[in-house]
Amino acid sequence: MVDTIYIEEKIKHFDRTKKILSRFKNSRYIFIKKYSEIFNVKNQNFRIQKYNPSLILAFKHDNFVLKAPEGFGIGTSKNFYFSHMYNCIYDCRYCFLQGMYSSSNYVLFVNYENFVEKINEIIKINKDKDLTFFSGYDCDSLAMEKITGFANYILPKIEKENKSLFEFRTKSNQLEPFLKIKPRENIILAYSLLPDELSNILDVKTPSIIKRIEAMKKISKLGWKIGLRFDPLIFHKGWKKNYYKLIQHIFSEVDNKNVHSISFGSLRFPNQMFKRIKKLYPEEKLFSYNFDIRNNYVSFSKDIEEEMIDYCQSIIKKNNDKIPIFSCKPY
Amino acid sequence: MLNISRVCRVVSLKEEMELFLDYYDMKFRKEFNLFPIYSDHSEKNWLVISGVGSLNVSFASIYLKNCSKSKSNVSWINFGYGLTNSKTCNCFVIDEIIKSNTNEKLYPSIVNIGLFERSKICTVEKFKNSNNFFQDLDSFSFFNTISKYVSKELIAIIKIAINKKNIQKKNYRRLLIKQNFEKIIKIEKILMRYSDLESLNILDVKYFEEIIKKVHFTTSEKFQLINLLKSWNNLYSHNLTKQIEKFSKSYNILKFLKGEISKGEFNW
Repeated sequence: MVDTIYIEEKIKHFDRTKKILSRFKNSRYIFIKKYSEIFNVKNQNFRIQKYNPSLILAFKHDNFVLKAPEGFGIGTSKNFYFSHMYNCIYDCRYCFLQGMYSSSNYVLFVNYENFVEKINEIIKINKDKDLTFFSGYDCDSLAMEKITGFANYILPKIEKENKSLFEFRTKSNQLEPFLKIKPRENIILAYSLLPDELSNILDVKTPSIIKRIEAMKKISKLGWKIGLRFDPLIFHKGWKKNYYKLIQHIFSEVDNKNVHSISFGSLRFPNQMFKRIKKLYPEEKLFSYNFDIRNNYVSFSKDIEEEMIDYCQSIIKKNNDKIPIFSCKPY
Repeated sequence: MLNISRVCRVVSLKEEMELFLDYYDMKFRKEFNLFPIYSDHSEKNWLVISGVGSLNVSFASIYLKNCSKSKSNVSWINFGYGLTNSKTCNCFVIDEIIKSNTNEKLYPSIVNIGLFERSKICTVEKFKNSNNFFQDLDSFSFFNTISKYVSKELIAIIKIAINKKNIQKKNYRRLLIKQNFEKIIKIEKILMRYSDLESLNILDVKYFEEIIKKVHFTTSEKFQLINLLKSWNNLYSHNLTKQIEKFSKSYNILKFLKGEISKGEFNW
């Protein structure tokens, strides 16, 4: 239940705003000039706000589509991302958003049309290049779909002939917008995955891994391409056994021919961000490990990272050696 | 929870404090003489009477902060009356404050108070005759001052609505507080939980005092020691004292802790 909704004056008459508000009849509405009056201002506490975040409905003016960070990609020459929201209903302990913003309120940009315009513009400029557009970098792509209807809006607008890839990354088991249209080769529904043992503790408020695998099974059977995102890989006692179990479980359930790609990324934070998160959760075991700092990124040691990636890749290749595998390394 | 929360309250008038004093058994602190200050025996509960107006509330809040040695983990409450013609007698949590002469706005945002009635308020320099809107003399200045020291989520402004006819009646004002006091205490309890959470960062680090009493650490080594001990305490629960008693130099203790933390595996 969202107690408070802040609404930018400019968008209060938008049909989409009214539609979203109709789902929150008992919430308190407060009209504001700009979302920055409420969001990410000084002396806010991400952790306390997370007890019951407010929703902020806003108009995005620029930066609809941005270049993805170095090392983030699934094989195309150029990578971009777009976020119709900031923050997420889940509360994953390793999430970088905790250190990125001082506020955990949800900001939802309601001018979806501008995202599509900008994507088409970029495709036009790069017409000879392979591109990937990632949705869900500053949020989960689908977790709030029932309220936002963003995927429902954007999916039919992605042209079939378009050779650019679109990835919707999620931890949710929300499939509705994908069930409404026929599967497209250039759209990937990608799932972030952790071994059950870790997910039960670190993926707070998310659907369980079993539920995510069930969703993957259902959607891949229908012919949709799925992505398996083992990001972050987390080193822990019994990690080999736990990752083995997870990967075997996925391959026994999911239609292999519809797995578009697999990617790995070790647990990593920019140094300053890590300091902020550690301060926010001083009692958290996850941040107490003696991490390495490489190129201003806090992460496990290079040896551990490589051992984990090699091990997971070897299990995957034993199951299926044709699926492309990528590693996300920002350093 | 750790039960180390603290709440500081700022009220304008004497009768606004009476029920708080009884409830928390707070006593007058005669050593603080610029504004009347009260606290309970444990010093978890504090209250200052600021007097009326913006400047008073700012000064009194800062004075209380200093006298109580309050840190960033403390919750703050401004309690008082707001003038209006509608919904009088009700108690409101303020979530939007407009400064009347400049139209500046502030948005107090205490989290998880779904059950409580909320309102915006207009902070004026003098009460205006046309009181169709909810007005007071100090919310803006209180929030503006205190939000510089603590997270905005630790600040609550609670106002009881009263009309012009009744605002001068002391006994009536007392009655209104009594009627709404249970609600006010509930809000305070929510804030205390957040105060506990904020306290995690300023808690004394286990073993720190013990170690620095025995071995000399430079200032920068002390910072390192605190960080390493925080991590060590999160990873292990066995007794550290015995393990480090063989070390007589700070360097060796730091090296030992680093090694221990490196060996630590996430194990839930």
